[in-house]
Amino acid sequence: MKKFSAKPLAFSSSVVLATLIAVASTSPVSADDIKIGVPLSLTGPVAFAGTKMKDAMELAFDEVNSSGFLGTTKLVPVFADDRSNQPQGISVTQQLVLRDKVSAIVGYTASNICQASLPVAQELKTPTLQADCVVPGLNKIGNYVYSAVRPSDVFVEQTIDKLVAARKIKTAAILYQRDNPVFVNLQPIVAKAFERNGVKIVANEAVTSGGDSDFSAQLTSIANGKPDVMAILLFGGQVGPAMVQARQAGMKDTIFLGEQNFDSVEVRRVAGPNAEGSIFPSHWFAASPVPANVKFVKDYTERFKREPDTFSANGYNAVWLLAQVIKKAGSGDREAIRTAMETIGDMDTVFGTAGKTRFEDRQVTLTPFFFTVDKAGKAVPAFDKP
Amino acid sequence: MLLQQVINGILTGSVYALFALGFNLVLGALNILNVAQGAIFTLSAFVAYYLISIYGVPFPLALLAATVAGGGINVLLELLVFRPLRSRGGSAMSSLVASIGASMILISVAQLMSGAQVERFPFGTLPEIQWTEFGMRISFTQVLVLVTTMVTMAGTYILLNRTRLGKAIRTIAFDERIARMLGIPTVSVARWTFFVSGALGGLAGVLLGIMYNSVYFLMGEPYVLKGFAAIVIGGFGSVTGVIVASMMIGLLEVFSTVIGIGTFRDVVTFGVLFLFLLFRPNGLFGRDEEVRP
Repeated sequence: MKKFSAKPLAFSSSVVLATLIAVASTSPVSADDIKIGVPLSLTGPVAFAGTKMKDAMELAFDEVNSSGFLGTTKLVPVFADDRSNQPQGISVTQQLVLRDKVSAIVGYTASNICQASLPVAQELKTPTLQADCVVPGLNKIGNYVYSAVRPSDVFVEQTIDKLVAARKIKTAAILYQRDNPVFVNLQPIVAKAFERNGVKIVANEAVTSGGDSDFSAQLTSIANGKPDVMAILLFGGQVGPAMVQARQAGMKDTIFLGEQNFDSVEVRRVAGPNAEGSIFPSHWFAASPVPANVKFVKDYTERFKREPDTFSANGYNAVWLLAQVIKKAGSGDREAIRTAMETIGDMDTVFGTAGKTRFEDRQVTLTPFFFTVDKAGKAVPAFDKP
Repeated sequence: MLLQQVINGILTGSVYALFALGFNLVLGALNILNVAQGAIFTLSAFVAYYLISIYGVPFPLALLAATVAGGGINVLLELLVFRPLRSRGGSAMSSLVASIGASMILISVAQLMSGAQVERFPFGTLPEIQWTEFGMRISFTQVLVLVTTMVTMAGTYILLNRTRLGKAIRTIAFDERIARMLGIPTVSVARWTFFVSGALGGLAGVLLGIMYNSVYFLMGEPYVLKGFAAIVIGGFGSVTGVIVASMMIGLLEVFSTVIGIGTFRDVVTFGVLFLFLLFRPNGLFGRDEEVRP
């Protein structure tokens, strides 16, 4: 793919548009607008991610509509705030489907809300592309529910394997958030991955709430074990403070290991020099030369005066994936969209190095990059290649 | 490590204590459970953060300004929300519901201001000095927090027990009608009570923000429940009780981690609260309610 968005008058964009049309189905699209439900966590503990997703998704919807990607048809997003709360997630899903009569849903921010809400979308037979939830098992919910990201467990396991192979790692500790299914699920996986690599777990401490910012007791216990590496499995908003407090607790040389939420300008800004040397996997690489990604980073930065991060990329990418599915479906009919999800084949994406992905077992195929944070606070490829 | 954890527990407890003292003041004197105290805690931390990071205000001045801002916001709540309710004879329940609404509005303001992002005070706001003795690490920031909270707790005790305002607050707490008969300007005293309460909450917010490198629009939420637990365990209206109970909660939380049950630290805290409610409902320092004819 050359570009996701195209400005009709620009020659280069026209070429891109032609490429996109060639890749996707040429089915005619309806002249009617298509309503898309966009449930996100815009308030509450996960709002730090949901608000970034919303900005990027608005950008993507604007690009889809202004580029004429769907002909004269416009996608009309109906945003809804699940307040980082499971019952509210179920409620907004029902509201979007039954009251707003959306053709499809794209969104969701937090894994626990995905776990509660996606079965509702399945029951109401509404094609849904979840954009940000990385807990395993969501692809087993049913044939209306697809994932635009992959579960984080395999990525983190691969990171541990590579880290242990590259460095002299003998001991490890885990600090995890007990209140969220992603981290509760990741904690034993991370422990097993360390043990499988012959690394001794010296401490395993839980944080009880997503609202906590005081990790002093847990980090004092962990520092006592002098771990070579500490896995920080916390909400993005907690990661930066945890890194600072860990250094203050005496872990001067400990490597911090995390999942995709480390890939955030905010985490690195809050942690400052304390983040140096951190290791994490991500399916998105801001500096990826994939043209769609270059355009995304440029447009996002210009529009919002800040750099995008993984959450922004997830939101942006999911809207464009859905746009391609709807193009293939040729209408806003829910059954047609679901069928298109099953049969679409290759899609253009901002993720990866090839700029292509497809649905396999109802989730996208992706290969992770592995990053470390350098002295300047930038995420740069770890190991020998990204 | 044990000594380090004791310090951690005392630091955590001292911030709980400041928060709970403010909470307790309005509850004890005016029978209002003002849950917006958590939002005031948060907003004051943001005030200090913006003053320092945008305007380069030195930390002591920013701390003072944010503390006054906390008091000011609470006075505004008194004027706009609680005073009208009280003048209409509103119940404690109506005040509680109103304070929940006020809290949601203030938290939304904090979210809008911050864009839901976590902020931190600029590096170097306070000297980054750390002392290591007997296997313990204590930083300049921690010492500052400890000294500030101790001085403030002592000041609050003196204010309530040795000043005319304190006596007036205690008289209103005993009976507002009698206070009026004695010529105490109850409206003005109530306003000052709200100011001191908000200032204590605000001060706690800034200290927490600087100590744990995190200013976040939901940072005050966990403190509402912990503050309430401290009041129940310490005894309604008792300054000493609230301070002791807050330290106890801080230490309980830390030692839950030390003995390997950190996952259940809230269960431990609220389990203790439950036991107090069952066996000592007036708390550690609370007295049996006097029945006045």
